[in-house]
Amino acid sequence: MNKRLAELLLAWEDDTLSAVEADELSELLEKDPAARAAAVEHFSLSCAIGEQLQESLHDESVVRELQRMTKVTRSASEGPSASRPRARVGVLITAAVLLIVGFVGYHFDVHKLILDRFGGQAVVNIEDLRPQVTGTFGDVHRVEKDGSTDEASENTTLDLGDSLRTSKNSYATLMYPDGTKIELRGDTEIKIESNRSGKHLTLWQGGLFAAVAAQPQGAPLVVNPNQYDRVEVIGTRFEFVRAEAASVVRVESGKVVFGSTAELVEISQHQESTASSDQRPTMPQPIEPETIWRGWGHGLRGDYFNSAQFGGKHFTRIDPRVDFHWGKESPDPTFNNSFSVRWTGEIEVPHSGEYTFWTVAHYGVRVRVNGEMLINSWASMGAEEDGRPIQLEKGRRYPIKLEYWDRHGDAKMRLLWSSPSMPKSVVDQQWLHPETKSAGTR
Amino acid sequence: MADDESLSRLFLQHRHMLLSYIHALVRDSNDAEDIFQEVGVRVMKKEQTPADSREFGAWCRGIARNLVMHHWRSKQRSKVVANERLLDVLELAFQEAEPAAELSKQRSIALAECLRLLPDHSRDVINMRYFEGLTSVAIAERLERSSEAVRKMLSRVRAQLEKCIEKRLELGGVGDE
Repeated sequence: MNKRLAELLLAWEDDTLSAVEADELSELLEKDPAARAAAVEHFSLSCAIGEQLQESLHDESVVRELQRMTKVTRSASEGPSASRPRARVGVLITAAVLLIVGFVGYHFDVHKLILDRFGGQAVVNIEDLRPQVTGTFGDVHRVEKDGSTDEASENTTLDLGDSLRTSKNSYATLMYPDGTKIELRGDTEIKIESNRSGKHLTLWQGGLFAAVAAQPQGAPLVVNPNQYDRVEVIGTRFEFVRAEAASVVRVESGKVVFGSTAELVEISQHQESTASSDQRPTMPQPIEPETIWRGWGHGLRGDYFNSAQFGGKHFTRIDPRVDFHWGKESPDPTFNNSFSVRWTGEIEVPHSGEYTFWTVAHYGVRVRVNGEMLINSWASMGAEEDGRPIQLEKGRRYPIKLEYWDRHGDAKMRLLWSSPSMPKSVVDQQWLHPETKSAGTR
Repeated sequence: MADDESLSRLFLQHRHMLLSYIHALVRDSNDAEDIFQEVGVRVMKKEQTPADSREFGAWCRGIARNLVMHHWRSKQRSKVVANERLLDVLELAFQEAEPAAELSKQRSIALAECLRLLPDHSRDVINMRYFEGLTSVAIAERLERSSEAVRKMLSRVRAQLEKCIEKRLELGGVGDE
């Protein structure tokens, strides 16, 4: 907008416009249609800002007041009193609209009216903003507002202000009443922000996968509000990882808006973008869908043992796929050079038919699907092994169990599959489901 | 012209531009909303009705302007008020703008988000001006700055908001899914 025009309009709103300036403003507006359009935009923005601020600061009281008023019949002649506290402005004007609408027998419900009144800004019921823990694996803790910590178990409901923390190799699932599901990786901490206009979360560190149900107009789910790596979604599936160096968002389906105010990017299906505190979000880049972590409901449970005979000290985690090349290293720095891993869970197939499983393992490997031993090569030594073909049906889940061990040398383990209509590839997480019951139940 | 239901719908459709117009005239949100409410009551009473629904906005503004005049007389305010020339050209501006300028849901959603994203010091100034209704002079006193500095700041933050809103609308679809 013309700078002088903006100054004059602000002065007019401020009531500091002199008579000379008033003439100057009139003249500017009279001779230039663009100036008139700009002036209307100016007043429109002033008005809209005022409304938004009143609403955001008082939406709760407005809702209460509205609900109360819908039960009370008021006569048309009853005007508002001339003086009243600011805070009730929004309430009273809403009452006026209600009154008018009520007058003419127009059917409405309170919720719709609130949406109308606030130009689409929804006011969300607090119960809809409190997620429930519906699954945990390993060590998961809830940290309450006052700092007290307790173990989170299934059916723990989180309050606004609470945090949830997963230890290394531990996982948790949160579910909102609308079906929005958030899965946390290990070493992750998330806070449920005390914001009433939608689901707001802060991911302090770690990673999550979110499957977001369609959110109400004007109340998107927001992760990391007011941060450089802010994420906003209406209804979509995405992964978000926050590390010290940078944050990454990968979208499985739908769209996500990522970044701070001035530097937003929109990430679509099968794209990713990276941002850090000193670097704006990168332009979304295409990615292979397999690289998206889809939550701990996918993959296989891996029990890792510090010996070649499935005994001794061990840890458990969920691996999205079995595709490792440890080389001279081992899966854990505390392990000696011998170790073994047992992966368990279930497998599904994309279509019914005959499947062949393949492994590349050093040192030895066994594969069982649906109880059948398909590969048994206790000294495979890194060669590619193919198993006996097996008939599998789409829509069923079959138990799968892999056993692998290494003593020394070039440790590696991959699980692949093929079928007449599918080239050989690593079995991806989307077809795998981990055994998540506690150890020793198999 | 219209029956009661379409009349009330029409009124709601014009809500934002009408309120903006009243704001532009009285420059006080409490007063503006009082007057807006009164316009609503008169519209529904159908004391007069425009023959053509396209004139609905102008009709409402006419009612509003009369009420604003009355309001000024009754309040005997010290405000710069009776500049007929300015009021006329403002009326013209709003006449030209409608109905294209009616605040869309998307725009209002975008504004809400953009306000939230403002840095604290910017939001404080915006709050003082548009929520508390303080003038630039009063804000300047509170912040111990000059009123020119405050107006510059307001101008800058408003430009930021406009840019943010445009950016979000450009990205599109955010509010539509």
